[in-house]
Formats: sequence, C-alpha cells, structure tokens
Amino acid sequence: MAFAIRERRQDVVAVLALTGELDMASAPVFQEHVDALVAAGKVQILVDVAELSFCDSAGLNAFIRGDRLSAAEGGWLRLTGAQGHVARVIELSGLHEVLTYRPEDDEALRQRAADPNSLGSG
Amino acid sequence: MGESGQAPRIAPLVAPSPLLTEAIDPDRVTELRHILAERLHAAGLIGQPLDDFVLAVNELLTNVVRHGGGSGRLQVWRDGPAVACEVSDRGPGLGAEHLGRHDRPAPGTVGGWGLWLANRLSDSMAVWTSPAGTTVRLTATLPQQVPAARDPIE
Repeated sequence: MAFAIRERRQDVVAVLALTGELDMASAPVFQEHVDALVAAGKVQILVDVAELSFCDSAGLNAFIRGDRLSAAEGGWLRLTGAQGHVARVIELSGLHEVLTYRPEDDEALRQRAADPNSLGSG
Repeated sequence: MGESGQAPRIAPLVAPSPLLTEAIDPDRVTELRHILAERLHAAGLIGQPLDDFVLAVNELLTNVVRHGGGSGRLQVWRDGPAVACEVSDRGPGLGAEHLGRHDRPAPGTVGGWGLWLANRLSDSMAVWTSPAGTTVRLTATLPQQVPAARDPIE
C-alpha cells in the first residue's frame, strides 16, 4: 500500500496518521511534513503508526530526527499505536523507550512545551 | 584431465537453487522488497521470520543506494534448509567502524541501524568488503517441512 499521511489537530497537538510503508522512498515525504509543521510553530507531534505496515531504518531515523527538530523548539514527537512488525522494529531498536507516547506523560510533555527551559521527563 | 579424456565433473554437493536475481536501482527498493517477500514466501518462509528477513535484506538494499554507489545486484537462492540472500555493490567499501560492531546503537541515535538490523533479523551474516565493492550474505532457516503423507503400502 502506498504511503500516506493524514493530519488532524487535537488541541495544540498535531496528530499524523501514517498508512502504508515507511522506507527510504517514503521517509523524505514524512520528514518534509514534520519540517513544515515545526517551521509553522506546531512542535507537538503525535504520530499514529497503527496503520503503518512496514518501517525500516529510514523510518526510525525519520522519527528520531523529527523528535530532535521539534525538541529544539521546545516540542516533542511521539509514537502511538504500533502493531505487528512495526511494533517489533520499534522495540528492537529501543525507540519505544524514548518515543512511545504515554498518556501519563501528557502533562509533563505539555509543561515542557509551555516552558522549554523546564526539565521535563519526556 | 583423466586418461579417459573426460574432464572431471565437479559439482557442488547441493546444487544452488536460484530463487531471484535482480538489479538494484535507487528507484526500485520498494518494488524489490515486494518481489523478494513474494519469492521467500513461496519458498516456505512465513510469519515473523519472513517479515524479519525481508527487513534485513531491505536494509542491505538501502545501504547500496545510500552508501554503495547506488546500483548493485540482489541474488536469492535456496541452500538446503535455509534461504540465502546476497547483495553486492561496487561502492567504496565499508569502513572499519561498520564492521565487527554488534552492539545496538543507543536508542535515539540517528544512523547505524541498517547493518545492526540486518544482523539481528537474520540467522547469519557474512560481509566481504574492499575499495572495489561490498557483498553481504544473509541466511534465514526455513521452517521444517512436514513430509507429505504416504499412502500405506498394500
């Protein structure tokens, strides 16, 4: 299935629902989307990967870059909904330890976003 | 040459059984991955081992495009109880920093994931590299075939 991004807003958070396969061909499309969000000041980004059927190292790198980019502006990028082999790759890489969205972290993430100088747990 | 005048016949104990030979092209990585998955499935690899091996080989294809000069060759064959997959390029070769490294990159590191995933998600990985190019061979063990039931001998 071709790669696609659907974006919706949830309060101040931009939710990106990914479908299809995230690889070296599609990762630049995702990166451009994240770059544009951050450039527009939308730096709290939740990536819903429930409908993502494939994710390789190019996808992992794109998630990590996106988090660094938004964190530099006081925001964050987190992942939610990983299933099947995508969940396996995210766990093997240890990325779930740093980029998994947890509702209990929500407040800390919001505080960090509100005050980039605070020491959030995210 | 033997006295009989016939050349000695040299054959491998198990003749390689080719499953796929394809040229690697920067625009074909996704397509090649789909073809590969189909052939491996037809050869008997299923479920998580299939997904793992397809991702492992995908990382080698990505490396060819990113670091190996952009083009190369993908070969897949049946090797006894396993499938083997070899990816070759004519790039500048892998630096020592890429070899002999088995530790997982730190979570959140950009880069360094490709060969680590290829090694982690295959049963064996061998690398030949020089300034004239790189070849990486991965294998995955096929699930044991259940022998077809035989009719009882009357």
